[in-house]
Parts: sequence; C-alpha cells; structure tokens
Amino acid sequence: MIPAELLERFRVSSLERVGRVETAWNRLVHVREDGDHGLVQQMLREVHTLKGDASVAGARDVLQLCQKLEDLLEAVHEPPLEISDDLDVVVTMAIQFVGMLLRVRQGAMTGLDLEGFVRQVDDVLRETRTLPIAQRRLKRTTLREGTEAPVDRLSEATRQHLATAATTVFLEYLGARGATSRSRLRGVWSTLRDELARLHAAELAPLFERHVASALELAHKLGKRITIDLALADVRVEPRVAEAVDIAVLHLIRNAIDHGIELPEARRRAGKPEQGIVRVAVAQRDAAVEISVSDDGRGVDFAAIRKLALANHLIDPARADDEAALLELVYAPGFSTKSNVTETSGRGVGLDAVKSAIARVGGQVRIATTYRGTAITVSVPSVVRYLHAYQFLAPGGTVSLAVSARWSPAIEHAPGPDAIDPLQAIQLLSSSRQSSVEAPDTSRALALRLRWGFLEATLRAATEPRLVTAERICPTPDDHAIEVVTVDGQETLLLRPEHVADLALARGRTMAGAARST
Amino acid sequence: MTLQLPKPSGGLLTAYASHAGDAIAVQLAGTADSETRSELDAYIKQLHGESVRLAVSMVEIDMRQLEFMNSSCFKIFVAWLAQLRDLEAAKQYRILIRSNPNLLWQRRSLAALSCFAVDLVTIET
Repeated sequence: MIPAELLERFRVSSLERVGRVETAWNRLVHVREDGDHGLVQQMLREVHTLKGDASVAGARDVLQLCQKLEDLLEAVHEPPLEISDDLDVVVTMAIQFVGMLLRVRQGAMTGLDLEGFVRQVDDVLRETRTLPIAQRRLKRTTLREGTEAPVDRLSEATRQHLATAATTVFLEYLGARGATSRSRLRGVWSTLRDELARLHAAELAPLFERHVASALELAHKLGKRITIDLALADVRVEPRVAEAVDIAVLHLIRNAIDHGIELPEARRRAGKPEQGIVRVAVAQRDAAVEISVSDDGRGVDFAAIRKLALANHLIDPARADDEAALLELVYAPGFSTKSNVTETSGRGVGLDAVKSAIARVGGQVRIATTYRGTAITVSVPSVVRYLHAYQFLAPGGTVSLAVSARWSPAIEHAPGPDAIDPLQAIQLLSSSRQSSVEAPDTSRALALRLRWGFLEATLRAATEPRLVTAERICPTPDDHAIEVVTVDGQETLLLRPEHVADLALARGRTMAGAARST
Repeated sequence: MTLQLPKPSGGLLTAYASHAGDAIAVQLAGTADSETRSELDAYIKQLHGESVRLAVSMVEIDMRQLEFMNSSCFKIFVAWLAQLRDLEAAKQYRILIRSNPNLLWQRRSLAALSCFAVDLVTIET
C-alpha cells in the first residue's frame, strides 16, 4: 500500500512535469528554432521520468499513456523534424489526457476511455511511420481526402431523384380519396420505399457467400484443404462501402488461404488437423460494422518481417524485437515478405491495398496474429442515419410533420397572417375536391415560429413540437421541401421550412394570377 | 429563457446557435486555428454557461462544415469537457458532435476527443 502522502506528492510533481512538457511542445510547434531536437529530448526525459514515477506509484494508466507519448515524441524526433497537424493534435491531446488522469486520480474515473484513446494514438503512429518523409511534413494533411468520386452502383443524384419521386407518391397517398386509390398508392409507395432502402443500404451477407466457391477452388489449386465458416449477421452498409468491403474480404480470404493456411503435411507435423479453417464473421458494433477474416494457419512470420525490415532500414534495430512495431510494417505500401509475387494474392500480405480501400470509405483495419493463426478485422460505418427533429401535427391534427432540430421553434398562440399552412404549401391540402385531407379550423391552430441562423419561417400547427429521433428512410436532397422519415416506426413528413416558405410564396402568386384571370 | 450567444465575428470561423426545448444546437463552419482561437475559447465558455443556465440536456455541435481545427482549438474542447465532468451529475448535459466522414482529421481527432468523456460525448457521422 502506497502512503497517501506519497501519492499526493507524485500527483503534484507529475502535474508540474506535464505542464513543462506542454510548454515545450507548444514552443516546438509554434516557435520553430534551432535546438528543436534538444527540446524533444528534454520532453522525452520528462516523460520518461514521469513514466518511472507512475510505475512506482502504481498508476498503470498514466504509465501506459506515457509510453505512447514517448512513442509519439520519438516519431517526431526522427530527422527531419516535421510535425503534421494530426501528430500535433494527438500529442496535444495525449498531454491533456495524462493531465486529466492525474487530476481525477482521487475522484471518479468514469467516462475516461484510455484504451480508446490509445487506439487513436496507435493509428496516428502507424500512419506517421509509414508515410514518406515528404508527406509527413505536409501541414493540413487532414483536409478533405482525395477527390475520387465514390464508386457507386447508383449515383447519389439519381438516388435522391428517385427519393423525391417516391415522396410525391407518398403525398398522393396521403391526399387520396377512396379506399382503392389509397391502397394502390400505398402499395406503390411501399415498393418504392423498399427499393430505395435497398439502394441506400446493401446487405453484406450475400456478397460474402458468393466468395465461398472461389475460395475452395483456390485451396484445391494450391493443394490445401480448408473449410470456410461464415458467421454473418444481417447488417447493411452504403453501397460504396459494401463494394470496398467486398473487394477487401475477397483479398483477405485469398490471402488467408495462400499465406496463412499450411499444406496438409505441414499442418499434420504441427499437430493440427489437415483441414484448415477460414472464418468470416460479420457483426454490428454500435455505429460500425465489423468484418473479421481469421484463419488457423501459421500466423505472421515475424522473423521474415524483421529480416526484411532491417535490410531495408524500415525499423530501428533497437525495436526489431518489438512484434507490434513489426506488425505495423505489414500496412506499408508494397511491403512483402515473399520473394516472389504470387499469382493468387499478389504481393505478400498485401494489407496496404485493403487498408487504403477501407480508409477511403471511412473504415479501419486491425490485425492480430499468433502462431495459431491470424485475424484481420475491418471496421466500417454502418448505414443507419438518424436525426433529431421536432415533431408536431399539422393543422387539422391528422398529418404528422417534423422539422430538423437545427431549427429553433417558438410557439405563437395567435398566428399572424404570415403563418404558412404547411399542408397548403406542399399542396397536400389543395382546394381540389379529390384531397382526403380536410381543411382544418385554422382559428384554433397554433403557429411555430422557426429560426435557424438568419433563416426564419412560421408554420401553422395543431400541437406543440416535441423533440424526437427520426430515421431517414428515403433521403431527398437538401433543397427539396419534403422528405418522408419515420418516428417510432410511423411515417412522418419532414419539412425543410426554408423551402416550404418558397413553395407557399409561389403558390400565393399562382393563386393571385388565377384570380386575376377569372 | 432565450439563448444569449454572440456570433464570432472572425471571418474564418462562423457559429450559429439555436435553442429549442432542452437542447442547444450550434453550427460551426470555416477554420478554427490560431487566428480564431481566442474567439472560439470565449464562445465555448459562453456556450457552457448558457447550457447550464438554461439547464439543457443536450448540446449539439454540427462540425460538418468545419474544414479544420488545430491543436490549440482542440484544447478548448478538452477544457470544456473537463468543466462538464466537474459539474454535479444533475447539471451535466450530453454533447452530440455531428461530423463529416469525408474529413480525415475529424474522424481521428473527434474520436480521440470523445475518449475524454465517453459517457457524455457522442460522435455522429
């Protein structure tokens, strides 16, 4: 048991040390001058001492993060001394994180995700080390990535155009008179909605299932015996993400068979069943989808990586036994431990191709390996899109409406003449005798004065708004007045008030013109 | 009660705030760097003060139009989270950050930022 007095002394002196590291870092980043390398060395000494103190004090979290901070500073220390914005942000936040760990040491640690933070540091470290020096020094490397158009089976514009048409059908359904018409229009809307959902979100399982036959064929060709085990959940991603994942998984399966799974004789010698297993598993993890491709083969050959890395000066000899550092090299472009490019899966592990394809769609790749096999996990964003909205009933109380919560509503109990009837504006409540939506008694209606920045619109309503979470099932473009969303599973018309006001204005002009002509 | 937040006057950084129900929504756009740091600092401090005064349960920061934020400005957000964590539980509010998945810096740095208070911060892409 470490005495409380000693712990307090550790905390106070460590916070002072963190302060000195922060000052030195700011000077390094903002006041470039001769002697910068000395500044980095000074910071390394401070962090190293802090790490030692944390070890003595039993502060394992501080120790772990100091280790990462050392790694970051060592990455900076490599000549030429250049600091990208990403590196600057992550070092700054790491210093802050150490400070926060020290400050809350005596209180609750709830809410601090050290492991998550360390993963972010590792990502930056990995990219910093694999980037050519010339790219490392680029400031603002973090601005918008590549300008390549996403590969899409249907363009976003076409998808939005279809969604706009589907929304019109939904409005027709709402306004239709007669059970037959309503039923027919409901059917058309449902078909369009489902089709749009399919275009908006692609299922992963069918994509992977079709790789099984070619994987078995490849194994047969290589003289290997394998079983493909699929554990596929019903998850969906955007079509462009599905396309990237599809290619990545195909590559990873072929890689596992070519490089991971041994020949039957070798497996027998290693005490394994002759038949190897390649497992593809898909699961939803919060807002992400994780796809892992694992095998029970020989695992990554660290000796070969070490030899190649040392021969090509890709690793500091002092770190040549660090398996984590060696493993990071497999993400480097063109890195291969194979002396020959194989016909089946290209150059060596080939993870650089997988990683860049996945990164382009906002995903990440992780690798874990032992002598019992390798697992590569691809994590990509899932497709669900929600937004906060204010839901209310339209005048008349039968049609559910919503506006994005970016609008700030104020309730008016005596609507003025500028208050727009939203149903009239979107022509759902038309003067047409065919509309099933009855004209409301507007004398009893409320109005919502909506403000967003300098934009303002006032809409008549039957009820006060409530904050809800809406799911976008049929996204229309931002310049379209209406979109169909669901709130608690019920279809609701999401209005874009700025465009509804335009519609009302245009409709007013049309009606005034019609009155003049009669 | 109405929200009392000035608009940052710097040309490189704009912010629009609105208050509805028990939520405050802020849209940040432009660039947050050393030129606009002090304005952002003052703005976030006022935002925190207003959020507590109005007893909101959610502050939504829309960063989808924010092209860049440097480390100094990230420190402002870290300090904000520290202030929020220091509040008694009943007065704490949640922060929802809407991010732009096309901006690499947002993906990485906002994920790191959320680690300072995973119980209070949600990053939405």
